[in-house]
Amino acid sequence: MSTVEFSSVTKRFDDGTVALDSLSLKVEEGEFLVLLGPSGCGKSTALRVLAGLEEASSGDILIGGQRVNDLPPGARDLGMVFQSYALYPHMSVAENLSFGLRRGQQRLAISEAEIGERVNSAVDLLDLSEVLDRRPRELSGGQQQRVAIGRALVRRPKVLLMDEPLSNLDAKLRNRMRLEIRRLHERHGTTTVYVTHDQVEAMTLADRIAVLNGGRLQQHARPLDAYHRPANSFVASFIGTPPMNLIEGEARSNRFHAGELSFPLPAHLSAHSARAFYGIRPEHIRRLDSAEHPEAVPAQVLGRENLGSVSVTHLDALGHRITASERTDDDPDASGQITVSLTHSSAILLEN
Amino acid sequence: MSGRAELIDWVVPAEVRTLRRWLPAAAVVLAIAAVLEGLRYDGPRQIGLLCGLLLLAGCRACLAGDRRTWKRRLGATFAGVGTVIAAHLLVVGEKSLYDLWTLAWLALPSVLALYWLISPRVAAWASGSDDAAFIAECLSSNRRLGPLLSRAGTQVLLIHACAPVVIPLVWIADVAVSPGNVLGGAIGDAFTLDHFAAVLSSAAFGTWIGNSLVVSVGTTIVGLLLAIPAGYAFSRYRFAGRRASMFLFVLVQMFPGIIILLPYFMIMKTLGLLNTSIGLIIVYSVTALPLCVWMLKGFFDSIPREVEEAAAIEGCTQLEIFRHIILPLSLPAVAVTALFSFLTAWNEFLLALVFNTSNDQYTLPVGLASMIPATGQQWGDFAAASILVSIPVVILFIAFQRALVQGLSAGAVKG
Repeated sequence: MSTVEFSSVTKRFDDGTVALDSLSLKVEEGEFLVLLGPSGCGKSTALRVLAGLEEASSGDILIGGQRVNDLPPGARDLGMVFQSYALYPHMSVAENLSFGLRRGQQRLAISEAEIGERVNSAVDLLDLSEVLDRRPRELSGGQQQRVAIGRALVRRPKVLLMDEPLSNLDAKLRNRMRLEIRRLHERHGTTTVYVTHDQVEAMTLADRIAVLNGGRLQQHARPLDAYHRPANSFVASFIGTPPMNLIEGEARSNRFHAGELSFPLPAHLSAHSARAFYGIRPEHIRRLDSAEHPEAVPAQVLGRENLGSVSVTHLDALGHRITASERTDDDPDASGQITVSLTHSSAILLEN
Repeated sequence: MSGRAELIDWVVPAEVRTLRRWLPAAAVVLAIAAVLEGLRYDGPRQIGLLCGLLLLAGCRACLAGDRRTWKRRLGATFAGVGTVIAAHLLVVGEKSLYDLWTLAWLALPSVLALYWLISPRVAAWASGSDDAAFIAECLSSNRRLGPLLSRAGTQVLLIHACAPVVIPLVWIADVAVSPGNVLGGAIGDAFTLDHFAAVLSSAAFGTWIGNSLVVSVGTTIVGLLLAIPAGYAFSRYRFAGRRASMFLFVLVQMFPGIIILLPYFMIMKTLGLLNTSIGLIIVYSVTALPLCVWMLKGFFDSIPREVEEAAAIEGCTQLEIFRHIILPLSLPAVAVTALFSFLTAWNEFLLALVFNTSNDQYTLPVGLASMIPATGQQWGDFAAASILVSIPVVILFIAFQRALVQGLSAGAVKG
């Protein structure tokens, strides 16, 4: 177990694209860090640079406080789970699990008995005893996934790297494996760096989330902090389903003005005065009974998506598209003109 | 029933459809055959075939357009006359395999057309019947007969595709087991293993086999040693001149071998490699290399890079990755490449003929050729030797069949 640190790491590919732009990030010992971002944001590159599969153009990578830029992947003492699992197709599950240990048997000074013991404990942990003699192609997606995790774990690595490990599984299995991964982490406490574009995975798995966009770090925070206090409009619109409503306008004399739209700011934001994005989560938008209410904002219902326990209502508030999330059993009007309040104590103002 | 006019399209009896499809094919074959008869100066036969061609074409014309009973009768008449001509040619003409074949292309279509055109179902169809019972009967018989006839058609095509390959083999096999040294004679009229005994007991043949084995195995080993790393490098690394050198590899293949014969000869002479196995091994390896490299590169491309990266993270060096991951995974492709190199060397004639001129350095193909102009022309021995030469190749193919199919298709399908 070790800390991991990116220190001003930049990765520029041969064709000139900058995948990582001066990334600085520290992962504490035993922490589960999720690198979150849309495709092409540099999150996978960050992981590959950390693994040594790509070379950093500049900056330092530190594992356990030691600079590892010049170490080959095998010497960095990592375990990695690939999106495609990358199991060795010509080896049985047992051989897949023990291959790395056998290759490094002398260097790591581990005995045959130790190899067997480690493989057995991984097999027990991941429930693979039934399939030990099978080839990867004879396994289901979920089993392949568990073998890939097992292969990374038997190395007892300092840091565990996972590159979108759940994206090839169907939805049901994905939910189960998400829990499994969290459980494994709680049990082993291995420092983990996990790459995903799925914010649900990020929210549920992470001790801390690092949101990347365009190769730059947008926010590095605990999941709920990133959810409630996004550092900028990108994070605000990336985390949460449906995403946070962002209204561009001006905060002036305790009110927020956006075109014809105007409503009172909540108390904690009243002091501000600037052009800004007003951000409010869909679940914080309330319906009002009376248009005479001081917070009243008129809105036209454009449509409604019933998701079971909650429904997402799409609104047009004087030219601004807004989504509100409401409990389905309230069964409010599904159409027509309504009145809502956008003033809420959890709302935020983001500079633009 | 509003759709009856359209439905009529579907109640064409399968027999008529088959005739519509195959009569033109028969006419084309007959046209070619008639031209060839002209080259053989067989006038009567040529006229017979031309008449047959016209009759079949006429029969086909009767099956087109409107359905009319008189057209069916005319077509049947054409087919009948064709049958008579075919019978006549069969009686008076030559009966070699080729003659029987051309005749079959006249006789079979004529007989079938005659038989079908006077059958009740086709008669009912041609009379323009739209009786519901007839339609139902026709549709159900089509379902039975249609697939049968189209399968038969497929078989005819396959037989014609295989015949050019199989017939010479049968012929040479017959010569090998026929006593004496004649090329003619009916297939399977006599049997002897004397020729095989003679070939196997001759010292020269043993020498040739030895030379060929040394050269072929050597070529396979040297070829693989060069092609595997080269293919891997082309597949995995991006280096200056990569595309250019891959193109050059193909470029060399575009020239006929005879062009490089002279330069090769000069080089071999300078190096003192004429009349040595090593010389041939080097030349063959180089000749087979481009295709081997391309085949292997295609296969290596199909191995996901992540698998190698996983091994790298587990502490493998580049060499260990190659040895423990890449090589075991690409065994089918390596087998194909090995077989290809082996065959190139085993069958090559021209270079061996020019470079290794002394008797004790002959490879099998050169040795075989040397048997032909020898006094008395040992056709029987030659045929027996040819078969003996092919046996190892056949065995190799059967042994590697699975790997071959895998290896050849692997480049195309990822997974």
